[in-house]
Amino acid sequence: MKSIYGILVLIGLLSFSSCTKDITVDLPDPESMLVVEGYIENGVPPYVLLTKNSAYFGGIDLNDLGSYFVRGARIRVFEGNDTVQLAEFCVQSLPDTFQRAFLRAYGYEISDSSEVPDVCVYTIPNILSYYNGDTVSTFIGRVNHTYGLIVEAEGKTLTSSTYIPGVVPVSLSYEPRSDEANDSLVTVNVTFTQPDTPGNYARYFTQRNDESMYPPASQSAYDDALFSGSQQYTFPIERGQSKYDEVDFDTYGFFWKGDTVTVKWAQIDKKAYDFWHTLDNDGGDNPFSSPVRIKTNIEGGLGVWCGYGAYYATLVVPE
Amino acid sequence: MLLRKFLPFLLLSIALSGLAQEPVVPVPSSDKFTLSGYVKDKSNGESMFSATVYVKELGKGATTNDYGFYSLTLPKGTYTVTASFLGYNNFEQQVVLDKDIRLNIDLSSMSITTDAVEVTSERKDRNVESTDMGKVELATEEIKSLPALLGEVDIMRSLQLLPGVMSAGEGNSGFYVRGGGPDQNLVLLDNAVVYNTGHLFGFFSVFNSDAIKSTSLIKGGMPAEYGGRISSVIDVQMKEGNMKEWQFEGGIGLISSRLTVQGPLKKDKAAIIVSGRRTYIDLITKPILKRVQDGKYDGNAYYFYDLNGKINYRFSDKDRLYLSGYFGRDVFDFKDPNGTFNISIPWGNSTASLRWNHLFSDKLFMNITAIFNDYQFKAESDFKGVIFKLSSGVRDYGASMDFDYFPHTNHAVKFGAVYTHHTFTPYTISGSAGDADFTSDDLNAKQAHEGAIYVQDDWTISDRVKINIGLRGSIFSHVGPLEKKVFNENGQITDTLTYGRGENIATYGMAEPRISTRIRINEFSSVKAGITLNNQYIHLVSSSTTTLPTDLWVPSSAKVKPQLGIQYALGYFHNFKDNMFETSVEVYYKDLRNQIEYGESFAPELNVDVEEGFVFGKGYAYGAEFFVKKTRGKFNGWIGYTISNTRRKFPDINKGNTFPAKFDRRHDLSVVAIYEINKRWKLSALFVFGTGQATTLPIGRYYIEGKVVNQYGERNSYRMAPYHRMDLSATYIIPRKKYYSDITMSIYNLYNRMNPYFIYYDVTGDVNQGDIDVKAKQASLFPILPSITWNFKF
Repeated sequence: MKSIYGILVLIGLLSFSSCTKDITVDLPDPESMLVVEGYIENGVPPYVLLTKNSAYFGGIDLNDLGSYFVRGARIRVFEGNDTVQLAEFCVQSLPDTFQRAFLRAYGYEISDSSEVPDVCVYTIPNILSYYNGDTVSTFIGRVNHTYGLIVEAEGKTLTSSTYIPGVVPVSLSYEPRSDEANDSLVTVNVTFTQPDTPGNYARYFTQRNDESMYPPASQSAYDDALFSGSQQYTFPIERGQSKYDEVDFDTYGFFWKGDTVTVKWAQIDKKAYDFWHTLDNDGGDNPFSSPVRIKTNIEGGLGVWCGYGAYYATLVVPE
Repeated sequence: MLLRKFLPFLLLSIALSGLAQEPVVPVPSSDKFTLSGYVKDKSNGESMFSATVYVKELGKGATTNDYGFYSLTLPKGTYTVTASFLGYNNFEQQVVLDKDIRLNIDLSSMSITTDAVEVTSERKDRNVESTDMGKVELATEEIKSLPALLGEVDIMRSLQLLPGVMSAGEGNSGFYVRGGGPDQNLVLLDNAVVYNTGHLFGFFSVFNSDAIKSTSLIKGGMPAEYGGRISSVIDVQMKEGNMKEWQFEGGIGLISSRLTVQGPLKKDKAAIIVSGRRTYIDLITKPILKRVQDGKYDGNAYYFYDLNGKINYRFSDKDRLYLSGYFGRDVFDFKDPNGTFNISIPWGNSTASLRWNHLFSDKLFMNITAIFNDYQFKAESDFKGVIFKLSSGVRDYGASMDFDYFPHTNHAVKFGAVYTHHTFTPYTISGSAGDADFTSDDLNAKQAHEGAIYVQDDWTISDRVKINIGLRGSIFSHVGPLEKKVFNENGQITDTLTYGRGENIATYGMAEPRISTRIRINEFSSVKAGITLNNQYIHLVSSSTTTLPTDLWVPSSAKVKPQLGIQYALGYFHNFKDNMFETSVEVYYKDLRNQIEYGESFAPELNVDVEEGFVFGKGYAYGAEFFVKKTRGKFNGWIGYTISNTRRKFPDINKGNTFPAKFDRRHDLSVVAIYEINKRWKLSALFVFGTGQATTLPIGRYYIEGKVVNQYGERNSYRMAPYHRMDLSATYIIPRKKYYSDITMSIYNLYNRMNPYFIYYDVTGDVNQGDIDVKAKQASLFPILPSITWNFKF
């Protein structure tokens, strides 16, 4: 429905000459709040990016970016009787050669020419042994388990809990585009079998070759309300791309022949779905849409604590 | 509760009105006779409603009903009877009333017989004299003199120039009345409800002005004959068709052309009118699109069209049949040049009404109406082989029976009953992807019955005091078949409620008393006061401020309670200079309960009943409206100013704090001026000013996955810049012997004011690169827009 609105807006505005100008708006400062962006995935240790909200306006430079990160927080993740206190790893404390790779592992792509911002990530203290292949003594996510989170920082305590649902295996296939102008493009389909009972939610990410993994820009979270029974479904997926890359409508959503396509198909719980679904749908307050207040599952703060029951599938599209 | 408050008052009034059935001055009934008949336009036989028939000697009069009928029961005698209607020459005739007399009156239009020389009439002080509060009637001819956006004369947009009526946004034909939402206006076209009044996101209304005779707006003191909406009534009457001669009328404008044909099928007996309008942006752009970029964009089109038709047959003075219909469609096709995505969206209304007027006696007039109306929205899209079909709509059929009873000169009684069956189709989705088909068959259409009975009396107690008292009893029942799933907080289905065909799901009923009174101070001034209580059983909850084709009507249900509105209004009316100037001050307070909005975190979900996303609260609105109108002369027009405050309070919105409604507007000013320079040239101008629209802006931001996430401030706490605009129009009547022809030139937004349409934040840069920049931008829609239209009539 949102996409229809979008198109209507587009056509509506194109039909008439519309014009825009910069204005200054005088806004009150928001109440200062902590923002959690935390994930726990099956087979992967939990990690949390803890930041603060800020007033809306003004650009930020690289030094500012660091200032959004909250340092010295006490963050604990627990499952049953098992608790781990996360340790803080700040980029600038790491060896130079490792900094950019570290940032990339947590979704920050910093170009070689840019200075490295002081970004901090909270994760398990023995993260290096995890990277060295030790998944026995390290705290990692497991499917069908619920994980609690307690964050204490700046005199505030935030709590949350998330569930990692069982994985839904998917397989990938491709179809060449019949388009003459773009005969190098392909559509990639995902095929999966839906669990019997409804109330399942998923979020997916795509990766093209050695690029980063991105969720699709238009809608990343899905529920299975439209599907019933344990039938097999095949759907074309949308290639995700960095939000700041310009959208090329000629190639948007497609992959190319020769691509190695990786899809992360992650099952999520209802509260995580509500967060991503409201985030996907916020179009702002304008004549065609209403602002959507993002549903958070963080008590006492903003953001999300999200468990992923992830399945990875890879397809090499032939040349 | 409310009923208890009103009941003693009501009972007293009914008792009083029963007493008053006896003539105030006892006269043997054999000495009383009834003068009745129809008032018509002499030139084309159109019946004229709200015309005044007045008996000079007694100082008493009556107003014609919707079908032009009047009835006066008077003592035996010789009387001078006059009839008048604004813009028409007065009629005057001696009548010897020694038996019941049928007097059909033909009024001739001033512009035809005289050179705009004003004829003073006995009774042009209807605004002072009647018990109507907040009622405005606009003749289409009057509207046509005003400047029009892109030359498209639009009755709905003209109504926005009246005090208490706020435009729903730049260029929008939708409006809000006295702090009520857009769904709280009852829009009727020849008695049939029109659910979606806008073409093209509401920039144009569905009413083709050539087919419309008149429009009346009731913004307060809604009489008991109307119901089902809590804010206002917009009663649009289509022309009946020329009974005298064939007539062709039309126009060629920048974006659309119109043609109307009307004439007698049988002179003075039967007439037909057919009127069509179509936009042609698509016809102009099609050949261009074919050529650019090897026809890449061929296949994209938008257009809308309307068709109005009406036939009426007068069997005798006692019986008349009308059949009228409207059919309009918007069609929007979009094809992505790569063939990746294409979508076709047709939507539109159709309405039909069949009416039978029957005169049982000189005092009892009946109208029976059968109604059908239908609003459908469809979208069919194909995105990379995934075919989606989405449809929604509302379909009604029903019947009503209305009586006008004139037992005595001091009483004009109306009573009747109405029944409507509603079928609401929520968003139903079906589609296919590869081999798999899916449907949202779990969401059934919702069925409901709505019924009402009413009685009202417009009762002249004395020369000074007149009251209009009415009672409407309404009932609404949401019935099966319905299957409703119950979800737990994890989104899993825990239960399915099943209702069989016709099984009651929720039933609501209410007594809705209304009263308004007029106290005449002197010949030129009066005070009016009124209380109206209304229930509204069907709702339009919109996530946008424009009229969108995706707007979804929903019935009251077990979860959604009927909206309730109580309006208190008080007004002072004063006319100056022999009624040349009409002035009024009206104040109102509105108490709104069971108001509905989408929750703050509402995001549409497929296959989930939309009412799951609703939250409920209350609201209030109050304001004062000032109106000055110059009704006659070469130079005429009006000034309307409203100061008002409209608030809402929802436990689940804005942390439960009161917030301004989206359509709260502190100041709203309209100035309209029309100047007839001579027989050939006519100029008009209008100026509007309104307090900036309330909007919700993000006040903070944070980052998730490196993207900016909005943190919104208080609901509707930010005001955009004020809205103001001036339009001009000049009409030149081309001298032609055989037919009428004019050229109308309009300039919209004369001084090119960049009025805010919405504010958005433009985020550039990449958080990963640390070069994020955020700017607030204001989007404006219409710059200065000249237009030209050629109109003809022969």
